[in-house]
Amino acid sequence: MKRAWLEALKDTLPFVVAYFPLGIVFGYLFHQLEAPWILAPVMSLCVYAGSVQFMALGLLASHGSLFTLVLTALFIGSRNAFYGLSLLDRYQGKGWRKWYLIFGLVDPVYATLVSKPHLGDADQKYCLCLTAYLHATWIAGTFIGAAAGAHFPPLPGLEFILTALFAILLVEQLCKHRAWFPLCVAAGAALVMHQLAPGFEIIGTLLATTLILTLREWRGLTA
Amino acid sequence: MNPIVVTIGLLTGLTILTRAFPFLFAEKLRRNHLLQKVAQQLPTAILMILVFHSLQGTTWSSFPFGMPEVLGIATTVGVHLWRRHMILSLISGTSIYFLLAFFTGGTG
Repeated sequence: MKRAWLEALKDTLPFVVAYFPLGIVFGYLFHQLEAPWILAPVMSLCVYAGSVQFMALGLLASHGSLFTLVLTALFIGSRNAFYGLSLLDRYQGKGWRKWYLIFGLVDPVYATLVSKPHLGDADQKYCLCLTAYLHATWIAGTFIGAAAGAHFPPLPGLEFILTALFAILLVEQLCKHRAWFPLCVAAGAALVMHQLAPGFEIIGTLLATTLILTLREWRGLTA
Repeated sequence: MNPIVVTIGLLTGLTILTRAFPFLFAEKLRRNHLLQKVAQQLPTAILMILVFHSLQGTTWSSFPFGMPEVLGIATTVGVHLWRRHMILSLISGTSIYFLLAFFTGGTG
């Protein structure tokens, strides 16, 4: 077993390449608000939820109501509540380490961890490093984007790296578990929700998928 | 107080609330067999959803009809099934995406 921090660095590097410019874009867009630029990295430090932050920028810029903001954030953020379900056993233990892991449970952390076997004694250190690297990347990107402002327009298209990474991890997951049913249900639900509920696609898809999977398992148990 | 500071405070609370939610009921959830079975299948479903979600900015209804994205993903997946080498799959898929996006005027 290699050292945990190095292993975590190796696994996060591709996500760092994708996350950093995204942070820059966020910091850059923050300038449309009449606010001190330093609040942008502060927001990335405390809120640490990419899609919620981008949504909030839009609502703040258009002077939307606080109620709309909270409700939308709750909808977008609630997908993370599902992530914990797969990590209940892995994120055990006590103290600040566990709570930092839970706070920092963003998409790339989840995607990496479900594809990575438990590392035994080194596992908590591995998870902590992984979480901290991504958090730091997000803050640093935002800081640079916000500080450099208009002098440094971000490069478009780098978000595709995220798509490619999620696709790779999905392939890995399928090679391991061959879970075609949840895959098909999720894909079908995503397509339906895209038509029915634009804006609430993610949480809609997630709820529908979980419901269908639960009903199927429940029938299996009672049959 | 600055409305942006208020917003940051509120959203921080929401982040903690949504992420900590399942852990607050960890003991109960762990004992539920039905839920455990569903939770085992969730990673595949969620990764699928993340792929879809990350394609939100794609133009499907007009030229280039999401072609750079679709072919970029196809290349990534194809190369990955062939070699199972993450960095190689990532670089080849992303290169195809950038080339197509550049020549169809999507990017750059």
